Amino acid sequence: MIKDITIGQYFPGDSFIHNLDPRVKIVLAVLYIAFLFIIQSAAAYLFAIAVTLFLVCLTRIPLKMYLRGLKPLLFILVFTALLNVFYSSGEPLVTFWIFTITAQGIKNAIFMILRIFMLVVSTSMLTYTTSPIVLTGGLERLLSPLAKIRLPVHEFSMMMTIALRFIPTLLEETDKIMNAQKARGADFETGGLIKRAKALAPILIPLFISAFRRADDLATAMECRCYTGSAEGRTHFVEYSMSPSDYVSLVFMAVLIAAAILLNFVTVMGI
Amino acid sequence: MSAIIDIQNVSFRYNERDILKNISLTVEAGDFVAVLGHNGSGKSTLAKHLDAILVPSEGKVLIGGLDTSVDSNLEAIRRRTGMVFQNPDNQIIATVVEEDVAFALENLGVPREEMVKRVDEALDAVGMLEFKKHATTKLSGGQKQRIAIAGVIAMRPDVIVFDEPTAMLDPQGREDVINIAKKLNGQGITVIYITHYMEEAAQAKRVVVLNDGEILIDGTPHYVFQNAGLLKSVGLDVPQSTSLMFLLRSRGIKVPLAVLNEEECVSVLTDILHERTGNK
Repeated sequence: MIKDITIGQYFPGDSFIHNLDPRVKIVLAVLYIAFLFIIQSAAAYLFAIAVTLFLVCLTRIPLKMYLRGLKPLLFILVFTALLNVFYSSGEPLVTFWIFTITAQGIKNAIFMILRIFMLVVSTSMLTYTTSPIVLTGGLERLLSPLAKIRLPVHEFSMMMTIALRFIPTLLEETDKIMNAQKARGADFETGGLIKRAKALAPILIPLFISAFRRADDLATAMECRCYTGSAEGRTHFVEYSMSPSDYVSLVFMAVLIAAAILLNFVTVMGI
Repeated sequence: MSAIIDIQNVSFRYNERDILKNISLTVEAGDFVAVLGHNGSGKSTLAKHLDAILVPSEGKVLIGGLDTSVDSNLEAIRRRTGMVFQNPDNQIIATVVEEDVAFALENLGVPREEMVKRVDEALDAVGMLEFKKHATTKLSGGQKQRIAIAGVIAMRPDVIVFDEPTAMLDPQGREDVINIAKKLNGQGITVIYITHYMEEAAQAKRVVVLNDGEILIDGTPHYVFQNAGLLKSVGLDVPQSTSLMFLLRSRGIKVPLAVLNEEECVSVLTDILHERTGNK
């Protein structure tokens, strides 16, 4: 049951987007966010929606999965939409009691919802199509110039790698400890919040002790395999190389941004 | 042949307790030494001295002539000596098999083309080549241990120290590991194999028995297991076949004591039975 938790929410696949160089994908995700903040006019919004849906199709992951990521944001979405509807200036359309609704307000609300929607979809796209470990590797290579100003890029990426490697191991262990405690009569399912939280102590303490022991063992094993802790003089087994499709994607992104700027000057139906 | 491991009067103290007491031991290059002992006999502590994870409180450990207590020798020593530990889960660093095997090579700064070649060779040597792209967490304990061995082989060490590599494995996994150790020894790698399974120790060229931080007995498996009484007195079990011979002897039946495996045992017993029925 506990093993069902997916972390990083990666959907393995073989689509065009899955196969992009992770470094390029990270850069593209950042640029796409910029693109979503450039768009202002209705025409530009329509264009962005079309592009986003096109990209979703390219990943071959159902749109439903992306929408699932929106669920936790539902409250914020509704809240910002309402604020926009009621607190925008302009010609009033409807007035009742202390509220006035303006055409400008409705437009702002719709645009805001669409923008958040597209932001969530595009950032999910990065984590859905890239395994966490590849993502970490890509990030390390992208940020490696920052090591020159003494940012611990290699250390960070090694920490991430080890954390990702041990998540399944520790989940399995949690399951084992839970079963062992249940066999001794521990009760995790009944009682109020405080009682249940207290019942977790007999799981967490053995889990922590074992995690520390594992960490110690792992550190020894890493030292034995000549790990010194510094990135200096290290080579990489996984090598990333840019393929034609990576260049095509970057050009496509540049075109998108240019198009967004141009479309901001186009008016559709007076908006 | 020269001594690749030279342990000179080594003592190791931890929390006011003497874990190792004045141990001296030399191992020739190409040897296969099994180290036996019950829990707390100091056998794992001794293993950790061979890769400079621990340094002696007194005395000296030389690996290929290099003193483990000198910091500048560390890299050279760890390059020459590989270690395989007990818990397969706690020595795998990467999430993909081939990346884990490459870890030591990345640390040593081996160029990528060379790395790819060595990783494939190492995986082939442990029979795990087909698993090269698999996730490490999905493998069985025995398979994980073979990956850990491959990670060590890829470094091309002169010595491999196995620290109870089979303690957490099922019988099939145990057999795979000891067979790989024997195969590597056949290729000229010096093997130090720490275990508490007598059947595994019986397959070594030399057996060293530790008890309370001291060497109790040291010699060929035949020589060591002949002293079944001595081994039993310190709580160690001899291989079952040796144990049977021991009992037969105490009943006054003349059998050789050092019978190490089932085949030898069967042939000795049939010989005796033939002799007796022939007499009638």
